[in-house]
Amino acid sequence: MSYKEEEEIKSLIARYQRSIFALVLYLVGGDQDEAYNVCAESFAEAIRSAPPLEREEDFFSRLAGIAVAKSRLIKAIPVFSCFDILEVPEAEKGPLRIVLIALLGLDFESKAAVLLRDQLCFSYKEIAAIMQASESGIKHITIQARINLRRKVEEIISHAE
Amino acid sequence: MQNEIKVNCGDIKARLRPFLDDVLTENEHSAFCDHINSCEKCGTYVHSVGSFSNQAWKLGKVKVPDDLSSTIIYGLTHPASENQPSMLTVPRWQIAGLAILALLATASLIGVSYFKNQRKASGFEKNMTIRMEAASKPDSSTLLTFSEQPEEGAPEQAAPQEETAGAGPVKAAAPAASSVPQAVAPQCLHWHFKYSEPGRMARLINILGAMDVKPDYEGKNELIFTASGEKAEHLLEQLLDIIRSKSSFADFTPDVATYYDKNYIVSVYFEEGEANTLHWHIDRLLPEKRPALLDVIREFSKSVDYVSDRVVVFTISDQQLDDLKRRLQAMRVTIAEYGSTQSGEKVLSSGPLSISIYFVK
Repeated sequence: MSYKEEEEIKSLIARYQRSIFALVLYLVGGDQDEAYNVCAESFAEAIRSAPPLEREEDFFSRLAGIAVAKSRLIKAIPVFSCFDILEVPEAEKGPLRIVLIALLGLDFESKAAVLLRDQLCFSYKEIAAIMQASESGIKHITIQARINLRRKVEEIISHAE
Repeated sequence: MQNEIKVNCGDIKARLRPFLDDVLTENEHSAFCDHINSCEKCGTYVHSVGSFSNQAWKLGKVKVPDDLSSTIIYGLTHPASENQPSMLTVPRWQIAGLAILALLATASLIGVSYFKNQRKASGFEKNMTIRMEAASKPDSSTLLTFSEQPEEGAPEQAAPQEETAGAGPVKAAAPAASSVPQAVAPQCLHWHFKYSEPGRMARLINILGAMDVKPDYEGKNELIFTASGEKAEHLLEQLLDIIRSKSSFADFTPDVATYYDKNYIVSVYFEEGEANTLHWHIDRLLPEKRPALLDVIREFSKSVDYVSDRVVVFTISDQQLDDLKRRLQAMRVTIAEYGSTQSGEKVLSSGPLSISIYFVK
């Protein structure tokens, strides 16, 4: 790999590593070590298998697909220490912690759909391709996931009270 | 795909709520995301609004390990295959054993597949679309079909016949005694809800009002409106949130995919008591036959409450019901009937593609 190629790849990684790392982190249950391994493997596989003249948005979509597929294979127990690496103001951390607990309690498909839509802003068509499902199915999953997320947050709040 | 829609700072406020509710079209959503990702001021404004989608977005602001990039580069320059053991080190007896097992598994699969194909196919094709179970009631699966040789009230399966020029199509009806009705054609959504709380219609109308949708028809227990796919889904989300019981919802159009760039006629039925509202699905009615069909319905019914391209809602008495069926049968119109006829005066909904939502006490 030439120096120029390496620099270009580093630049590509820098643009997407935060999005993919966060996605994988929550999909594998918050385990930072697992997320690190899956993220690194996903990037390597996506870059290695990139077709020539692929557009960057297509690369991002394909990378997310690989990351979701690899995350699905990880049998992880929810770990909430991932909250420590969130870079948000202190005042926002309280409500965010509740949402995180609720999110980690969702099943894999629901988590993936909500994160791909709300965190990574993919279209439903792209999400359907990433998760290898029908577009209408993904929309239903996303709607149900948001409903379940809301319910879980309400349960957590009512337990806390 | 390039976005045809451009969003600037002046558009953000107007589109904020639809964005947070996820009811923008895909092009609008993409343009909106592009803008808030590139404009710091608008991005800060949007993400400061309290919503679950924003919370999910904030969860993405994680600190990435510093050495991730170098690990990836190392992985690219040192492929994993260099470190994997060679296939030659695997004992030959293990390879032979695996090959035999694979052959046996293949033979079993072929055998199972062969015997399976000998049995008559039945059931519905499954796909990723989430399908709600139809309300399981003893009478809700009654299916009457009308063939060229009328046997009144007797369910039968007529052999399929070809369309003849100038005559209405006469086709075989779907198999009888199915608890899930045959899928209606696209662009109509048909939902039944079991929900007995008072004020349900008012709540539904309020939700529609908030989405800027005016109902096309408001009956005693039914509501029909036209809306885009995403608004229909948003309404469904709200209704499921209110009812919170999957078994209370029946989707009679599970195969309809609601795309953002289409409009849909959505009919929601609310029913009290044991009887289901009677629905007829009339399939493949030629456009030139429609006025005659409506004239016949007006002749027999007490009142025609709602008429659109896809749905007709009318009221008819028990005594006239069978006469109307015979008359329609004489017109060679194929009707699939759902529901029961236990009440004296029924509200019937019929049309080429009809969708309904039930509320049953």
